Amino acid sequence: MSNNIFEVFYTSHYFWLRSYLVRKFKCQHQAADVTQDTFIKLLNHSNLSELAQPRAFLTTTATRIMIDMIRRRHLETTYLQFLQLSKSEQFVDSPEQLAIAVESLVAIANMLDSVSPKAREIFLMNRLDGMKHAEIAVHFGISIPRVRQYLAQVIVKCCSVSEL
Amino acid sequence: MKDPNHIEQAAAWKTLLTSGEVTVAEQQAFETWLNEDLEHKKAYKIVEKFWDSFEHLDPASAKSALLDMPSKKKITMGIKASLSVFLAAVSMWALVNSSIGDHYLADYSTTAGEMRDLVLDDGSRIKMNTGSAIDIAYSGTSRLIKLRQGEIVVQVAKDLTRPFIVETEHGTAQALGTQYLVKTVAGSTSVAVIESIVKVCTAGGYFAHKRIECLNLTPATGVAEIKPGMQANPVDVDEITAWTGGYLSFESAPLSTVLHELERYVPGKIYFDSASIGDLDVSGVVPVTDIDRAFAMLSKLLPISIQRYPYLTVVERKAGSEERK
Repeated sequence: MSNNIFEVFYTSHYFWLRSYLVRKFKCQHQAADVTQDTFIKLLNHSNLSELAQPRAFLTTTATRIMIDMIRRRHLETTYLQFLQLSKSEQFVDSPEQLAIAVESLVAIANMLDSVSPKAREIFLMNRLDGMKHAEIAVHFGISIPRVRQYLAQVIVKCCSVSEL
Repeated sequence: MKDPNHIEQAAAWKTLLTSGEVTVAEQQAFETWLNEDLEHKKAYKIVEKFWDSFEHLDPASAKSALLDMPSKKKITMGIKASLSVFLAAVSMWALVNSSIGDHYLADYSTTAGEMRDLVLDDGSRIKMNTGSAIDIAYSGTSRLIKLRQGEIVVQVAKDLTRPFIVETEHGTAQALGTQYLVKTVAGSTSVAVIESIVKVCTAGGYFAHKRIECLNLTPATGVAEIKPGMQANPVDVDEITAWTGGYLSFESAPLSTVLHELERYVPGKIYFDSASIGDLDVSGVVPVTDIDRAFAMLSKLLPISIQRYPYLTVVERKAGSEERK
């Protein structure tokens, strides 16, 4: 994309988008962050000049970024809280390890989005709790082949939307 | 490309192989499947990558976080229903916990590109670098400087009865009459000593059961990060205090490192694609009190173009310059 088109696009919408988000967020800084992330995301968009409704497009993109931000924060907080509750002395995660863990969590959460709640629970019981197929089958009152179907289905869905 | 059929097969194999009930025959059948087609291998690799992405998570905490996770749809509905209420709460959170909030609540702060000199009651001096924020708490028994974010150089006036301490969330650095530099950026704190001796200790907080660890630093040494197991390393005092003279000095530093450093001196963000500028190095002195000049220099020295917008600077490699050595 030519820099010129982006420049025109940026200068004609930057302040509008920021003030729009300030009204929504009631916070200057949050709004400034989301505004920037929005434009960065559009930096390599090929048809900026041909958008029929650039501002509608901008608010949609900004909303998506906002949702991701809220999700990330939610995952991070919950994960950290449980970590602190459950961990004994010998285990203290470094900030780097935590950051890597949160990145993985966000990626996994995005992939699990397309999966039904039941399938998700079965998968996490197996992958994270280490429950055997037979144990899960008993827990849900279903057959072992059915459990395997669920597990495989989750893997397939996650891998077809994979960000990894 | 991903073939859905291959992924399905790979997923079925992975499910079987992790069941703990694989027969020798099944194991052999898997090997045969895997080796009969390169696409099978690729598909299985994708599945394994997904499977292994859970590896460095604490299982119980991750499960709670993921099961508790509202879907994107729910968040969208939530935003539409009570946008102002929810986001006001977020901004409160930001005000209390983030570096931005810290900035506004601090006694003294500098904005991007700003530097500031302070002379304290006892004659001690503090030089604040860009984007820094500090609180000053002098009492009858101690002189405490709380560095909320950024970088400072302190020159401490002698006072045997009141220790001079710089504190960050990561730990403390206590002067025994001296000049030193404390920097807290990107989630860690570093300390470097210019004169005399400084005692550096890790913080007890956050995970309250952490043991506090201390280390004495002599001149021209420092710790890169205050944390358990930290060690003293030699530092180049001129290089790390160069900013007090208004410039940064680099010695064959990757351009991405230079841009990350400069980002602290620019309002907003610097955007660049690390992959495309990965091979570019910078050696020399870059002015930071005149950031326009700094960018002009960089774009003259290197095959890059720099566009500046309000709160956003975009650095790109010039087209066709990849081949050049």
